Amino acid sequence: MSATSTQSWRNAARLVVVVLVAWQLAYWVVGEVALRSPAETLAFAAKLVQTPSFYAHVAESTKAFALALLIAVAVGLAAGFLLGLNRFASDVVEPVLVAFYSIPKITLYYRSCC
Amino acid sequence: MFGLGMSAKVAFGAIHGIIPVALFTITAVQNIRPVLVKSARMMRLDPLDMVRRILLPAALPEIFTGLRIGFSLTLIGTLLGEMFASQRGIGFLLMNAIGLHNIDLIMALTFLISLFAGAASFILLFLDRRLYARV
Repeated sequence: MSATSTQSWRNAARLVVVVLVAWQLAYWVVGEVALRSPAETLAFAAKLVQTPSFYAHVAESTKAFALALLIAVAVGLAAGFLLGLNRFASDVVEPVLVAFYSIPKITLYYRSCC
Repeated sequence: MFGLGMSAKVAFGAIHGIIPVALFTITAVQNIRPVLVKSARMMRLDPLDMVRRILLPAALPEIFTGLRIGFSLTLIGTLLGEMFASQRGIGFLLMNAIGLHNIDLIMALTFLISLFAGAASFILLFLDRRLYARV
């Protein structure tokens, strides 16, 4: 284990502790109406992962995520290599990509809910 | 365009992920030392060999950074797509729990999703650091 690796483990542990403490404090302030304590959440999550219907949902999500990631990586890499080698094409397309990157994609759902 | 269901989620996840991967790859390829690309062109490598033997090895750390960000954004996109355009999946379960004000379920799902995302991000960041350290 190198020094930076130990450092990153320590930072991760610190982050987990800070989040847990903040969560418990927020629970004490807000109460049962909007939050559950970390311990209760853990207990419920442990029960939830044992129900079979939860697995159907997880499988569905995993399948969708795997497909989306596959498409994103394949198309993204192909586009990146093509445009990266062609200076003119990348000068043209890159601003468009950056503009599209900064749009919150959820706005493209013309009627998302309600 | 893709209606409701599987194709909508996948499309929504993918449009979130493609752009960071593409942007990082463009920058990475442009930052490769020009002599490498010029020699490859002189040796008339076909595009596939060009990618496999020159671009990928030379720009791997930066490309991997793009993949790491693409991973998280694709996860967000897929879950968001499920929340609004789906009848199955974790996102739908979460949206349903929000509608029913089922706090136990909301908290447990949020916790599990954060756990997964945090663990994946930690592992990818670890690999990323190792790639940069190697170069």
